[in-house]
Amino acid sequence: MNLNSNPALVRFVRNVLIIILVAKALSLVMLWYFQYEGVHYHANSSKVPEYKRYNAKNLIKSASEPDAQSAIAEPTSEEAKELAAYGPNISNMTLKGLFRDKQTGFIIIALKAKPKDSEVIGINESFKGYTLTRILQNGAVFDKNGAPYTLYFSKKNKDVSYVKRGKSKLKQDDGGIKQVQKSDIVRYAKNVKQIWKDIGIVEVKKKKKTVGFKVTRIKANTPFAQLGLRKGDIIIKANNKPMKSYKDAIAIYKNIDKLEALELIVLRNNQETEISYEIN
Amino acid sequence: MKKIALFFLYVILFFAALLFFTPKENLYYFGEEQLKPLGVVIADEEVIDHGFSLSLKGATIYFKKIRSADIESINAKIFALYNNLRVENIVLDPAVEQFFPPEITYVNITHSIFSPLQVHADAEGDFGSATAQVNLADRNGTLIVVPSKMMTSRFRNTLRQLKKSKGGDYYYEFKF
Repeated sequence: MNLNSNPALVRFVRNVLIIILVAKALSLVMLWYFQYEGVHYHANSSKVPEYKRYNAKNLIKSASEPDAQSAIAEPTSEEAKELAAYGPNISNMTLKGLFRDKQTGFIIIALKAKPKDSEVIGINESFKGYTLTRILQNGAVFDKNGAPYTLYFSKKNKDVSYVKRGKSKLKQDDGGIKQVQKSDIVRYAKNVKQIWKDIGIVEVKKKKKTVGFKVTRIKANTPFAQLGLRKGDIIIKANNKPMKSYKDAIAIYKNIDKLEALELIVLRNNQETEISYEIN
Repeated sequence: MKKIALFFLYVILFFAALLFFTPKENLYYFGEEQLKPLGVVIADEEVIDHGFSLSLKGATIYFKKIRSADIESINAKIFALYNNLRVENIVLDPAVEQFFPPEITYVNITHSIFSPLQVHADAEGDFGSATAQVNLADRNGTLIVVPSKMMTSRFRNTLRQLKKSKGGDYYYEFKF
C-alpha cells in the first residue's frame, strides 16, 4: 500500500504516535516523581535493657541489719588468719540473701572476713571455687570437686531473706512486691474480652505521640482491683519499656504468660509510682 | 461528526497509553509512602504490573507497628473513569482476632465516574457482610454491618462500638 496515496491514514498514524510519545513522556515524569522503593517494615530493636527483678531487700536488710553470722563489722583476727592460711572455704562464707524461682535464682554471698564485699551469683556460677548448684528455701548447695557443700542462713536471716510464696490469689510481700497467680494471667491471656470487662484502658497522647495508657475503669472484686492500679493511673512503662505505642502494649500482652515478674511505672497524681508483681 | 469521533478516539488512546506506560509499581510505592504517616505499612508483598492493572501478592499489613493482617492478594484497576481495588483473603493476626473474626473473604472498593463524589465499598467474611459509602465532598461516610452469628455471639464488645438500626443492622458514621 502506498502511504502517500492515503494522507488521512498517515495523519492518523502520526497522531497516534504523537499521543503515545506524549503518554510515554508523561509516564517518565511520573517515574521521576514517584518513589523507586517501597516502604519496608523494620522492627525497632529496643535498646532499653530487659527488666529483671533482683531482691534488693536482702542486700539492704543484710547491710542494715546484719545477722548473727555476718554481724561482724570487722573480721575477727582468727577468721582473717584462717583465710590467709587456708584460703576461702565454705565455713568462712556467709549467705546474705537469695532469690529463687522454679527454674532460676541467685544468691548474695560474701566471705565472713569481708562481709561488705558481697557477690551475686546464679546457678552454675562459682564463688571462690564453689559452684552454686541448687538454691534451697533457706540456703544454697555448692559443689567443689564433686563434693556437695550446703550453706544455710542464720536463724535471723532465714525469716526475711527469701520471697515467701503465698497461697492467696494476690499477696504483698515485705518489699511491696505483689504476688500474682500465673493461673489468673493465663486466664486473662486466653480470654481477652474478660480484660475489657474488668478494666478500661485508653491511649494517652501528647503532641500526637503516645505517652502511656490511662486506666479509666476498674471493676471491683476482680484481680485487677487487687493489683494496686487505680482509676486515673497512666501506665507509662512496663518492665522498663516505655509504653509508646499499641505495639509495646501488645508485646507485653503477647508474652504475659512467659513473664515471671512485671514492673509497672504509673503516673499517679503527676508522680511516678512503681508497682511490682511477681508472677508464680 | 467524524472529527468528533476521531477526537474521542484520540482521547481514549491517550488515556490507554498513559495507563499502560504509567509506572504503576512506583505509583504504588508513592501510595505506600502516603499511608506511612497514618501508621499503615504494607510489607513483604510482591508487586506485579499487569499493564493495565496492578496486583500485590502475599502482603502483611502493620498498623501502628503491630502486625495486623496477612493478605493473599490485592488487585487494583485504575482506569480513571472506573477505579477498583479488590483485597482478597485477609487473615487477621492472632493479637487482633481477639476483637474481630479472623478471616475476611474480600473487600471491594470502587470509584466510578457515574458518582464521582462517592466511593463505595463492600466486604464479606466471618464477621458477616458490610457496605460503606464515603462522600468525598462532605468528607463523611457510613458503614453498615450485617453481622454473622459468630460476630453477634463472640464479638459483642466490638459490635457495641457500632449503633444498632431498627432493621437489626449495625452502622457507624464517621468524618474525616
